[in-house]
Amino acid sequence: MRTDNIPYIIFAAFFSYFIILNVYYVILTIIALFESRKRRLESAAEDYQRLLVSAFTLPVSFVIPAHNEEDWVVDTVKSVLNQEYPEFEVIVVNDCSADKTFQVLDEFLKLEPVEKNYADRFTCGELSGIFASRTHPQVTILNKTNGCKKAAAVNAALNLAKFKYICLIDADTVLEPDALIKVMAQVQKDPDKIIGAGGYFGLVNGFTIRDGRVLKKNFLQQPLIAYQNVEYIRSLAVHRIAWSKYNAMPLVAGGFSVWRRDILLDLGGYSSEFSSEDLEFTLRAHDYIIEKKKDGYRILMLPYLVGWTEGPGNLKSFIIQRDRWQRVTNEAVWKYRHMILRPSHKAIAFLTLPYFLFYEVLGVFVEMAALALAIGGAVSGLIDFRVFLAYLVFMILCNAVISLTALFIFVRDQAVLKTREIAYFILLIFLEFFWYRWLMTMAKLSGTINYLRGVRSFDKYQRQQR
Amino acid sequence: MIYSSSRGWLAGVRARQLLILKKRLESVAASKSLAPQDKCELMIGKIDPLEAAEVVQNKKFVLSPQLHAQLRACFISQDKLGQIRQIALKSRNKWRRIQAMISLGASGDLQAIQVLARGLSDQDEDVVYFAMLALGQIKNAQSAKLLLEFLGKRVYSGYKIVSLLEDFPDLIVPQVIAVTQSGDPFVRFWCLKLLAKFKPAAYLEMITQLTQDSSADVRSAACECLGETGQPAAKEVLLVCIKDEAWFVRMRAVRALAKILKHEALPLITPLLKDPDLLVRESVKNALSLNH
Repeated sequence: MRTDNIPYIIFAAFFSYFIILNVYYVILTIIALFESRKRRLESAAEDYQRLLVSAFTLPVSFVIPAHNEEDWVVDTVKSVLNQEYPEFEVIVVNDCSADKTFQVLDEFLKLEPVEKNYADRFTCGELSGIFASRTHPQVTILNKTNGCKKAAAVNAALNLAKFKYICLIDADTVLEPDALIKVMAQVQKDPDKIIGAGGYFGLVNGFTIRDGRVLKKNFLQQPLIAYQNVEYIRSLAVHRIAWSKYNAMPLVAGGFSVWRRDILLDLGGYSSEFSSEDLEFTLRAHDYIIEKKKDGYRILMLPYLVGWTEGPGNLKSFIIQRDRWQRVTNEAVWKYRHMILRPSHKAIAFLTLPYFLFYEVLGVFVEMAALALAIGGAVSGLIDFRVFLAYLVFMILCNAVISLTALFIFVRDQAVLKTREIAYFILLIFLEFFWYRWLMTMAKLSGTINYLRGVRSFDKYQRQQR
Repeated sequence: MIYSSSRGWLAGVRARQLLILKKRLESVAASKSLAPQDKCELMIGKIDPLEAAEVVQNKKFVLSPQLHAQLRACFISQDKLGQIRQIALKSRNKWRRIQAMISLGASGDLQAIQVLARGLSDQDEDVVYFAMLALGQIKNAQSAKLLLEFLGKRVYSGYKIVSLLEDFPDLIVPQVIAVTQSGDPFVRFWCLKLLAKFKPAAYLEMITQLTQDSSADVRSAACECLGETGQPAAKEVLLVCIKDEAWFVRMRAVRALAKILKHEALPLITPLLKDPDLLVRESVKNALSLNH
């Protein structure tokens, strides 16, 4: 091989990586275009009124782990109590909070200690008390003072949850009143097969909320928050909808996830060994069911806006959150590497996990190397500046086309964004390459380094003042 | 942005169209110079059948009772339902077929049952699903028969199908009782769950027999059903069921006894406070606390 060919070979390798990735995105986008429309029409024709009054609508246990959530937890609980759903219970786990989480719950729910049969099936730490609400009998509060981790808090609630389906939500999530009925209407079609389901959610930052209801939605937020919304749209409205069609959903997000209780129990609940739980648990569920040779199971992603969650409002918080997401991605992909390209695991083995390995895990190295080589090459003259510029424009346009299509799907199927908000998002999409993308890459790099250093903590970022 | 703006604009146009339509309907209905047949032709003769169905069902705007009655009569005389049945059978647009099926269900059209029955065996799962929902809206013995047969095919869950049948009139009870003799325990189980909603005291003997079923799920559903009937005659059979090998049968039997006998059940169920299963013990505790 001639040495003067090496730059071209390197360039070709990076370019191929980029092209393969974008072809993959285009395929997912086309699938999502049709799948999301089908789900919208399906939802429009569904008879929700019947489900609301039926004695056969599956009851659901809500589980809300709360660690230092004094600002949000009452609104979250109120939004759950506002659910238009025939029967549900709510279990809030006050997970070693050092703030006034318990006090604000007590003030709202008028709590009193109760004795309940509580058998710890998961060794998730002792409880210091179980409380029932005098005003809302369907609400139970568990107070935990040791074994503090989100996974252990969820597992503690599972010990007490009595219904067939469990809806896990974060304590900073405000649900839409029809969130549960929309998701459960689909689950109820085949509860023997549907083991998990998730929905869309966006960022609540800047919204006006009162008594657990979103009164005013405002998407014209500072770019960091708006970019996260664009990213959520891209991920939820395209990737996950397309993966879900082929039962290859790798992640039912912890912000709102519905799981069948027997699956949670059979799998031993959430695992505390990971930096975050949702991705690991979803992959574990796939692996478990496939290994049990149970055909026809489904994990769904439904294009219904179920709620709103608080996102990081400043750069430091953003990096902390994305660092953790990257760590859990690396941890989960490493743990479930045996599923990759394994024929028995079907679509998840071929459609999703290779993407996670090559883009989510290794992509950070490729992006950093590509950036260094491109800048170094352009400065040293090894790469023609016009070629560099053309490549840059091509990348921006590819990214923009995919993001714009995701935005189109979202606007078409969810009546949420106003015209000026859509215009703002379009502008941001074209500028994304110049800073947000690199901010994400830096956070991913930080997460990868921390993963290699063995960091496994659940670092919570600073909440914004409400 | 263009899409969003155009959608908003189209919504506005649609609202105005509906308003114009409403005014036109009112003026035609009020006209004294037109014959009833001409009125019908003018009112809904040229409207798309699915849109006409929406108007008649008062979905988009509220019509006065008189106008609504007139429109309904016109809708029938113009054979709009026949046209909708044709759409449900033949349209190439799947979602238009589905919309037609939903309209047929909402209209309670008896002739639509054959169309919807064909929908139940369609290749497309969405068509099957909405044919099933539409049948659930035509609450008669014929649609109940189709839905009970469909239950045995296990295309959709028992929860879904039984939830469609739960608010049918009592006349379907003999049909459901007959299906409890099915060879499929899944069908027997769901029929008993459904029967519990109807509290069929007249069929106590047949339900009692199912407490001896080979399937524990069926035995437990039979206990629940007996509890709902509220007949003290079920006491003896439930006392046998509290010794069943399956914990959930014992649990249901405890609940049923407590429901039928109230405080008189307490001495009978108290020994189950030592049951090996937590949920059985919990049921006894609940019964004790409720009846003390």
